Amino acid sequence: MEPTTRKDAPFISVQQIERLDRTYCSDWLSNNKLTCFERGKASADEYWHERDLVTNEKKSLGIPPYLTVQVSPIRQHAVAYPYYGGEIRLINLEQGRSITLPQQSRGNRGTWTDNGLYVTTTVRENGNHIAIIDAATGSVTDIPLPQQVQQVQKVQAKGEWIYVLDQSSQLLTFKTSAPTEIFQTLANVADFSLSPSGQELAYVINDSNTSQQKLYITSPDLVARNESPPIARMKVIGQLSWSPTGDRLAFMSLDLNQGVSGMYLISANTGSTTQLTNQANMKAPVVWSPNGQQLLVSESNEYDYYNRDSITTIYRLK
Amino acid sequence: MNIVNEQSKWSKKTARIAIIIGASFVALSLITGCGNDKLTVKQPPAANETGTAANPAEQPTGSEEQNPAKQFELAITEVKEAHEAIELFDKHISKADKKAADSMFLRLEQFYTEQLPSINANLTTIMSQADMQKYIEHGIFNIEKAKQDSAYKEWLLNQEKGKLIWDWADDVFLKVDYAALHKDYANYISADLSSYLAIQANESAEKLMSDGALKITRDELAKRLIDVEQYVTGYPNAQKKAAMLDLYSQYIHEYIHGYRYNAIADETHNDTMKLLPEVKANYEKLVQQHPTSKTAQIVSDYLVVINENKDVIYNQGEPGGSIRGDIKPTIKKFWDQLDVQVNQLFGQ
Repeated sequence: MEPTTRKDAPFISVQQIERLDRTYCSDWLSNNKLTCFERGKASADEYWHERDLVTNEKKSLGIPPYLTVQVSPIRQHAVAYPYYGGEIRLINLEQGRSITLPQQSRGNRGTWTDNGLYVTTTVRENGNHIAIIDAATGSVTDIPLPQQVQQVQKVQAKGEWIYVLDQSSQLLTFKTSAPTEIFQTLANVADFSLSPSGQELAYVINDSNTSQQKLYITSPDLVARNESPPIARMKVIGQLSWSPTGDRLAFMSLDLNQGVSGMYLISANTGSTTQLTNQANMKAPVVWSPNGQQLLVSESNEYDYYNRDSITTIYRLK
Repeated sequence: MNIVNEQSKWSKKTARIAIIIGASFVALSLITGCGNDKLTVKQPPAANETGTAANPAEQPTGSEEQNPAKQFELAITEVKEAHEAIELFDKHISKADKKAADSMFLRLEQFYTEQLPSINANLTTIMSQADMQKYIEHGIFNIEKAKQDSAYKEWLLNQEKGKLIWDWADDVFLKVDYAALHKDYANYISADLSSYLAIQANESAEKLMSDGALKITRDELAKRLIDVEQYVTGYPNAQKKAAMLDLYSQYIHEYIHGYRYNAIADETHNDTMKLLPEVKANYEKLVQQHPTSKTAQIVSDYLVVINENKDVIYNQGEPGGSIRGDIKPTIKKFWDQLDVQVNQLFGQ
């Protein structure tokens, strides 16, 4: 198939790929610094550290390796939680202090909002809740989930709106002030991601007729109408990740045909799409650097007890 | 991949956008985006394996154009599927001398390390698709049935062609089929790497542990300890020394104190907290059979400590609490110092 490139489409390509062997990195502390730990047989117990990509220096963050770390957009705080659920730690990166919150994480990757709130799902005696953690004060607002919601896979928030994808593949939207009133519901959703401005919603629909998934981008309030044509169709699409400025969407795609799987980038302004790599890992989050010029993908072989080596790959764009 | 190549209204700003993914463009992106000249690799210095092919620039070259190792090294950077890597390996290995074959094998093993995280992540993703749920029987994914599904047959069989083998932990996963590698390539590579492959094939065929429990007998574990020791000491410049010492460390810890749940006389054996006689006899047998080995030296030292404690490993627990109390101080000291002793004996 011949590409039909628009003349005004910006050229997005990879300038450099840097690979950090035996290293798992979860997020960016700045455009040159990452939160990482070395994960190999010889260093399985090493704590998370700050890794300087320029000098290669490491500085311990004092966070044990069984936690995973997500840094706030303004890089002042981080949240750490166990992969399989449990304690949630709120870390003040500037002061090097952390507090353990009374809420128990379900182990889902939560989301930072641009005003310093972290939204995640927690386990309570009376079921799952959404917790909105204010990083500045450490206060937590608990929101009971609507009855229709099954076990939560992913949650995001913007302003007073909460978007929840549950295990029965429903994407539900409701207000923090009225969680029992569902604003809209979309079925057969495999993944979603709200742009930083909240103006665009990317989501993936399971098409049971073709056993494929379709990627859409639309205005969040038009989701239920689902009138837009899909951006792409593949066997599996996931790990949707908006750039900090919301002008690009990265995602992973997996297909049974060789050469088509990989990580893609869509320009929100032009719609031009580029395959950045033919390496796809549907379980590896794609994490943008603060300046939107680099993408971080960390992989770990979680399945083999004796071979859990990790690799972090950084894609630098031009 | 089906590309939706039409203009669409998909933003609130009603921007009209043409979507432009094309197969030829994709192929171009792969070449320009993933070329070897753009890849920088950083490894933790302490974890570098002797003789690994981590840095292509450090590979033996010889005649650049005809050196099969160099050709393989260049070609494998563009490959993401294990079966393609094996096809490449097969294409070049017959032309390689032992040195080049070793270099190729180490690069192939590095390929597996790089690719297994995504191979297994993607396998899990595929297995979770709605049309694959019919192959889950009693909570376990039936790979053999799934391989009969025309939609997935080629993809699943390609994994096996890549000399990967199915295993099971919490879920089905793929791991390197060292037995297949040993069978097909042992004659091409050096005795050093061939021995390494044999050890890995043995470990792969019957794992030391599964579901957190030991799966092999004490005799088999003793044999594996000696095999690994003979590899490390038998090849002064062993190319996989660090990896084998890692394995040795796992083995010796299990041999000395990993059996504590079925090696100590506790509630089922009169609560003496003593090492069971058959375990002690096994230690003595190893020392007797391999008296000059470093493993025998470690085990002999442990037997001295055991005898000093009259075979008692643990103190009795407190009434109303755990049956088993603290570890005897000198026993604990021996366990804690085990890695230090291994490092001293093997010159790490």
